[in-house]
Amino acid sequence: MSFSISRRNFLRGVGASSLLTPFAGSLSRNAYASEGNPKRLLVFFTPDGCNPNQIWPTGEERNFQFASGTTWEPLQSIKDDLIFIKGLNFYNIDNHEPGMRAMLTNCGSLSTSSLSSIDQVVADHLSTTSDNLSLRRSLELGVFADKEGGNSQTRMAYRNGQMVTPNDNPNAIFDLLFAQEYQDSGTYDKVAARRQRVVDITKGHIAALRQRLGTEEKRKLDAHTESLFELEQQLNAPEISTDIQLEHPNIASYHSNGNFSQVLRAQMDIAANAFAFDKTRVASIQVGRTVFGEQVTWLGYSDGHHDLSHAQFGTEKAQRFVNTLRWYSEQFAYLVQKLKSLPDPLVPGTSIFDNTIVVWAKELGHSTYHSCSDVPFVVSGGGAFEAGRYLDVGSKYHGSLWVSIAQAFGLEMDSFGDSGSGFGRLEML
Amino acid sequence: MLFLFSFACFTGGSNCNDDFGYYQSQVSDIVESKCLGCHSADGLANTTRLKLQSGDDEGNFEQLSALAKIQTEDGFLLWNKPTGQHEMGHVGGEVLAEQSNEALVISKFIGMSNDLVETCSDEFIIEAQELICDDNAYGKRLLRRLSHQEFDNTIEDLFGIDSDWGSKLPKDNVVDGYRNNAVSLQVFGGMSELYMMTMEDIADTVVSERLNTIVPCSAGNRTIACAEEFLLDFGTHIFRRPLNDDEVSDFLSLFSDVYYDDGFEEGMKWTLTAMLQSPHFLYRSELGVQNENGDFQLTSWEIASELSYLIWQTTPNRELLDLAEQDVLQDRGEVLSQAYKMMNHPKASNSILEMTNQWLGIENLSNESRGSVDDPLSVSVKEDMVTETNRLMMHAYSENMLYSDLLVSNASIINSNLAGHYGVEIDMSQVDADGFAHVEFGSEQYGGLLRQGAVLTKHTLPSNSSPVLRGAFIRERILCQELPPPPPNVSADLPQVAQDISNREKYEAHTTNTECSSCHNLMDPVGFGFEHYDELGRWRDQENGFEIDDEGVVFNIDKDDVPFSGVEGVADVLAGSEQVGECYVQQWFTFGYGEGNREDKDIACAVQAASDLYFEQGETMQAPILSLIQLERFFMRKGEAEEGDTMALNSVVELKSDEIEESYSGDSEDSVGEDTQDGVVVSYEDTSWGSAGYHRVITVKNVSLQSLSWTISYEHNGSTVIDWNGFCTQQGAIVHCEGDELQSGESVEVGYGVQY
Repeated sequence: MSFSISRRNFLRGVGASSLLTPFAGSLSRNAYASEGNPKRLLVFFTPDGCNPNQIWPTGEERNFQFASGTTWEPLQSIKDDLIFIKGLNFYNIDNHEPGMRAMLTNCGSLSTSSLSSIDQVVADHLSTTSDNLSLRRSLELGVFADKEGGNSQTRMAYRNGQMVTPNDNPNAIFDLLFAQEYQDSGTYDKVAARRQRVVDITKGHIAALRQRLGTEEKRKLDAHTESLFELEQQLNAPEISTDIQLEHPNIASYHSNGNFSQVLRAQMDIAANAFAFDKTRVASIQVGRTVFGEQVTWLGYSDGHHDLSHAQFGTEKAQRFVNTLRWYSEQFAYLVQKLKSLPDPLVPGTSIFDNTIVVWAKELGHSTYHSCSDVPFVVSGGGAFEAGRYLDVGSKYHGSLWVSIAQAFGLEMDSFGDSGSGFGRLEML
Repeated sequence: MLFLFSFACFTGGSNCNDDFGYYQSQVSDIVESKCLGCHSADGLANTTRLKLQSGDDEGNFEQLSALAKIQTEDGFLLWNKPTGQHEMGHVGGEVLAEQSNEALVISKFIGMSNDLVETCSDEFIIEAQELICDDNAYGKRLLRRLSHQEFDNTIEDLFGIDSDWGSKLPKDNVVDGYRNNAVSLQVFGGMSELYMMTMEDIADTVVSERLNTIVPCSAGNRTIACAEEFLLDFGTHIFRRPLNDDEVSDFLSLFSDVYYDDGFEEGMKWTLTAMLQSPHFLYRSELGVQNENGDFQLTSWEIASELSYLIWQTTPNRELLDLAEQDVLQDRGEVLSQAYKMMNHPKASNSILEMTNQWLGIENLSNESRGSVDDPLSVSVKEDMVTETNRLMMHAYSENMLYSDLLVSNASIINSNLAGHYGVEIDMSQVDADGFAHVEFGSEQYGGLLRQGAVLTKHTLPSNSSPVLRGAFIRERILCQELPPPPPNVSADLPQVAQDISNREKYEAHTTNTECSSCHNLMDPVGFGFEHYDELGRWRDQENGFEIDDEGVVFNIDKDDVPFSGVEGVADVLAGSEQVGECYVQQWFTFGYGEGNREDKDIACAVQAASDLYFEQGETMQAPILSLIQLERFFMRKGEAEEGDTMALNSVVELKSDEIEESYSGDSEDSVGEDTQDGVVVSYEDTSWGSAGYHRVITVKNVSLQSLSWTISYEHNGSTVIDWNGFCTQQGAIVHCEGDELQSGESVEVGYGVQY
């Protein structure tokens, strides 16, 4: 059974076997095709650091090799699409929880109330400068990231001090993005108008309540109002169509250990498809959390993930950790291939990958030393950076990487997060 | 900080009339054992100002006596750091227990170094700061968004349908151990959209399944008048107070428009959808009405909600709403008697179990993988373990046991599945309809709060029993002591050892290695008490062929170090501890009030007051909950500075940079204010009020990512302004302040005096 989908043709309760076949055709608005600018940002995270003895390539910047059995070896076939960076340190930060907080924010000694992560900063920028008014500002996808709820070990995205919650439920996100429940455009218009009435009533009640509040509680309602604004943008979303077939993830139990790899695959597909339908231009996929307790059963291990990360190097258990990291490389390779397989609706003749900066970030370097020095990063060119390189930047603060990326998106900033880590972009990139 | 001086003469004080002599005879040993592990040239703390060398008494003395003289308003550095009282913390954790002999030696050394005492024969004791509380430790006025759990319970009770809508939303943040923190519960980002989808779904279900039970009219009379009656009657349940006229007219106008197009049911659906998205449903109001003292008295409606969500985790029922309507819930006695009644209602299990499962950390257990990959622990055992703990807790609360008895109890409530897992017998003739039976264990070591399969299985590694995690659980959840994280750049591996040693011996490296021992002493030696339990919570006589040594020490409990033998010993130590009782009250406070930050003095005071009530009321399971209700805080909220006096009028703040150029008017009727505008926070506070004028101090903080220049103006009618630091000028009634190039993250303080 197949369905036609545009913004106004929806289905309800998509089953496992059902496919969405969007209208073929052009986008309903003008795609702008300024050359060489990244259009999107995708952050990929995997937890608990790495074994530094088995990750770094050998060789030169443009002529480098992954030794057999090392962590990044599964990226061999796509290494010309990527940039591998060694030598980035977090400023003023070490250890699991601080590393998790600092990874995308370069928070250093900044207080929590002012944190914003690179994905959120870019998302704010793109959502205000984009011509597509119904874009979702950003999409935070989790893989067992929200199992225990939010705290500074389980969150990596921050917006103005507020933790941004990843959604671990691929079914729900798929429904939100790709399936709606109304059949024809007449009904949809009516529903959208009623939804707008509801939003208006809610806004009126918030305004009345707000008058009675002190500063702190007012802020709570202001966040609520902004969230309603994001909702209103979705109510006015225009028609979009493209040639992509979508399959509903249909994962019953997204926090059940046995479904781990399936959930990860589903979230990667959703991120890629969200780009292909131009539902958002910034997404993140957070695999687990720092101090990830989940047993690595998807590779047949009984050990907890974090426990493996503390195995003494050279032991069999430590090899299991390297294998776990290699498995992440395979997943990351899948993500890259998926993005390469999808045509970019904004820049005809190119793939999503060509115009997307993909960053694979980690919160720790050396796993058993809990250190945030030499934290490995893998970045794609995205139309901004020359790919196919191994960069040993010596010893630089990683905030400079976020400056480079922010600048690539046209943000005029010279420091990112705690300016104590210095100014300027990562020159070698 | 309280300093106690007394001059008593010790006889036999030897070699202690000068500071160095005292250092050599008393202090040196402590320094060598407690400080040198980290504070040495190649130690972890070698970048701090204390860098010691083993055996170098003279050099070490010089440094320590210099350090002993450093005093801030919080007290002596050399005291605050090792006792864990420094505001910036001590990376090595608390290495000296207050009132331990070692701490007394250090405090006397501080006294001597500062010439506060002449010789070591004189006594000098630094005591911990007494918490000085006033009677009005009220909380803040709050909007508390329903937690997902409260949301589901509320939907179920309002409409009589099952609800797991809340549990399917992205999870609420966990703050201070609980996911119902009042500050953290907000509606932000994509939440409004998720709520919209959820509420439409709920309204659909209600209208198709339960319409007859919520509308006050028969099928033939379903008109606009019926909808209005619904709003006036059932609306009170949804908003937990009567709707005001504006609200009724909002909903009625939506209803009638939909009604004329698509009929009554569709009208009701959209009306419900809108009501459930209103802030008056989504947030519990704890705002109150201001009284003559400037404090806020919660309304009877608000108290009905507070009581209901505290004890039942759900919306107030008709009886409570009736009492609210009669406005009798201002009566403290009436509220307490309602609370007693509610505690003994089956719905109390909502709160008790929600709190318990978050407190003990077991709420997710059935979703966590345990055991080996080839032989995983079955979901049914994990679920039954959680049920066991929940059944036991409900038993403890309904019998209103002593908390200390629950800790040492050897009873539990299990089924045959668990009996098989634990390797014990149950008498099948005793089981109830659910297959569970109350079992008193004898020589089999199960039962009580600490020997629950769920707790023992949760707080360990999935494939190995971990004294660290079990000890950390006792520290953090039973003793309410926060543990510092492991220091960076220390290998956190356990050293590689020969295979043929016991689990305990592997972990003992933590407590013999000085780098690790200062923190791990707080955890591992407690955790060793549980070594008889494997990672799946089963008793074992041997571990990997080794005899089990389950002796240990609870360091730093009630300012003492107490040795114990085995899990029963741990239970006895904890059951006898006042700190454990206080912690239990603190856990309930954090859950009940949705705020648990003990750094906040008002909260610390309120927890202390609740804890006093708990001890007065016999330390029973129910006592903490009832204590929360007996605080004045339950009825009152603090007035906010906003409502204070006002001098400045019509402030206008203008912020300029390449990216930012906006102006806005802030609230200026206040003596304190704060405004956030595109990456800039401007706050001001008016102080030192006198007959001649006052001071205004303004802080401008750049929270954006770029540098910026800024200008701010305030209007001060008929006042003369005296500029302090060159940022501000006055033109007529307008005071104009400006500054350049505030870097990202930087802030600047500007001030001026205002003369009447």
